[in-house]
Amino acid sequence: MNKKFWFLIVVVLFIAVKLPLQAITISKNIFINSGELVTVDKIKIPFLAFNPTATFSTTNLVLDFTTADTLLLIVTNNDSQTHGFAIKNYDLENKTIVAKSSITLKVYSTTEKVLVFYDPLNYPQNRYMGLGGMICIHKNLNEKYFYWNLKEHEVAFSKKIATQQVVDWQQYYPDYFTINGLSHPDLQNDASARVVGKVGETIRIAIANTGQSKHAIHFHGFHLRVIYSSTDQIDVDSSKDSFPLESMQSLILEMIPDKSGSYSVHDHNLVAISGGGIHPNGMFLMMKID
Amino acid sequence: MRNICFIIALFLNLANSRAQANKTFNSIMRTTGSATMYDGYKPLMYGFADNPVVDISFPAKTWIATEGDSVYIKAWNISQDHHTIHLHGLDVDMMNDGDPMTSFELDHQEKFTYKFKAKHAGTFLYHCHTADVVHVQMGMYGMVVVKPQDPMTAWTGGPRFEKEYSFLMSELDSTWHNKPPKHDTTSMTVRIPKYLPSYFLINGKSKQLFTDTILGNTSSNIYLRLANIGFYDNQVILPAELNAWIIDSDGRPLPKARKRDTLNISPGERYGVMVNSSIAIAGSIKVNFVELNTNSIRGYENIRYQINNTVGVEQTLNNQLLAIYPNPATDAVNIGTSMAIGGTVTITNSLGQQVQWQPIVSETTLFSISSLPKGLYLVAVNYLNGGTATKMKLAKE
Ligand SMILES: [Cu+2]
Ligand SMILES: [Cu+2]
Repeated sequence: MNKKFWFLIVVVLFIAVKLPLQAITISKNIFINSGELVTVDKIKIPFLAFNPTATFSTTNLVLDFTTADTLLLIVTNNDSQTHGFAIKNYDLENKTIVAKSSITLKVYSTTEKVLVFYDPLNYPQNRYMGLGGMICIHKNLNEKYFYWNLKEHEVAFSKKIATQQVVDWQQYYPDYFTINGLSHPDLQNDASARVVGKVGETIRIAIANTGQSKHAIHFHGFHLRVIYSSTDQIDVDSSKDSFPLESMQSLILEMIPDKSGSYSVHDHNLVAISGGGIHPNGMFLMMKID
Repeated sequence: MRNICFIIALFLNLANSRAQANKTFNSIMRTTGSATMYDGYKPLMYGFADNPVVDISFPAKTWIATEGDSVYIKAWNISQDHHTIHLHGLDVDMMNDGDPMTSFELDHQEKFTYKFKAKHAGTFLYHCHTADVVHVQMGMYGMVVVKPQDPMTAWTGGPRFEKEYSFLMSELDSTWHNKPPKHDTTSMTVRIPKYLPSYFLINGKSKQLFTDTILGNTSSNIYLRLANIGFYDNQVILPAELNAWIIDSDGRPLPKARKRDTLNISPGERYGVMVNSSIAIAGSIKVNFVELNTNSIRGYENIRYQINNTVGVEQTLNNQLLAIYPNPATDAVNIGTSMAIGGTVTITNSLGQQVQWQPIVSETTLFSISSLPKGLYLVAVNYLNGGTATKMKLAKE
């Protein structure tokens, strides 16, 4: 008798606690589109992307929601090839999506983090071609957030992969370096990437490396605190100015500026500040603090 | 044991606060330097010199300041190119940041005094930010070390050490040095060749030219400052016997010290590593240079270490060589060196700078030390035949 009573209490409590956490289900669409990325010097390279509609764009969609939500994701393969869907560091079976069909899945997290979603088929080629995006799970959506999806591209590799030729990753030497598909100076116009803030304001930057190379992002002017880290090289709560990120790893950084001005952020593999052999047309961005 | 307690007591004594000071460094920017590689190749180097009549140092000299100092860097560009000084990791304001994209650069014969407040103890870098990929590759870089008030600790209230060593990693590609890419000073752009370095450097040297050796005693802390200004990763292999703990990074203590056998240092990063071996042992710390696009090792260098038995050294000292009295001392100190007549005795401060020396002409040598700042000094006896120096600590009160 007693046992049943306690069991009931536990069940009621469980529902009471669990309900508000997953009460809101947000539904979002993702389309796998194929198209071309236009480099900083106007060279076109074949590219694949995760977009919110069936229209191709080089910017991969950022999936944003809070720790109180559950995301219902509908992934549609709008390409002519079969693709897959997976989330790094998340308990989900890899999915296969044949051309012109869809799958549905649920994603949630009770802690603030950035996950990387990608195409695990033909790995790492499909992901390299652009199929890598960010899922940002916030504590609340009022926080000031910026998103950096780091990638690099070797034109010859992209062309070979697009025509089903074999590439040797041990010979990889990228010639373009992008954040959200853009390089300096175009990157200055990307409102989701370019940090604009005020002295004393809490700013969060979610970073994911969906490229093949390792990138080491250095901040001028400020040390940033690590809120979330998927990489063993960077500890949560550490305060640093340089943040190395291996392929498929992600970070959330917190910046509270103590002074105004313009301050640069860039890959400290300084070769990655170039594009098509021209420096500084690469992974370089200037923040503005008022 | 008594000795150790005495030394610890001295350290605590020395922790009394020191007034905030101004520190000034000269930095003459030149593009006509050279360096010597292990195979005899002498690349053209760009760099920084202390004054206009000497050649650049490669790497540039380490600037050492104390937490709380106001630091002034008097830069003077005597080269035909443009340059800046970026104070990497020191979180300076926009006008002193040395980024030509957000501030300005120095044209031929222009001067500027960069200034910053050394707010945090730790290991930092400085480098030219004009056409940065080229000017850094050409050699315009060095370390900035900010010491806490007590210079024998990693940070204020942080772990104590007996010795410290700094290692700055980089690479060098001869193609870039044989024909330095010329940047367009109007559009502020530069076309760069492929980066395929063949020299993998620590403190600007490699192979037989890199002879820096970590020397220490058993069961005593040795602090290593490791920094990467190259464009590759450094994979630092820390042998188990060194009992290495990673304690700080980028000029801040880590939230939790981590015991590691491999430490990756990416471009622009710095790490503080505390090593402490319980056994007398010699060996080397291997540093692999890892290309970032292919994650493949392209070169390596070894940092040698030799850990000696503490007891043995102390016995040698006490039995025959060195007597320091009084110790601590205020105005004068006698240094007895019965076995070493004909050699020299030197007094070195905690920054490794020799502050006094005398030839040994009798069994005791009297030093006047009233003008020396309070602190801990190292007394060394150097034999005439160039043999190993014997060292002991002197405290100035
Ligand atoms: Cu920079
Ligand atoms: Cu830098």
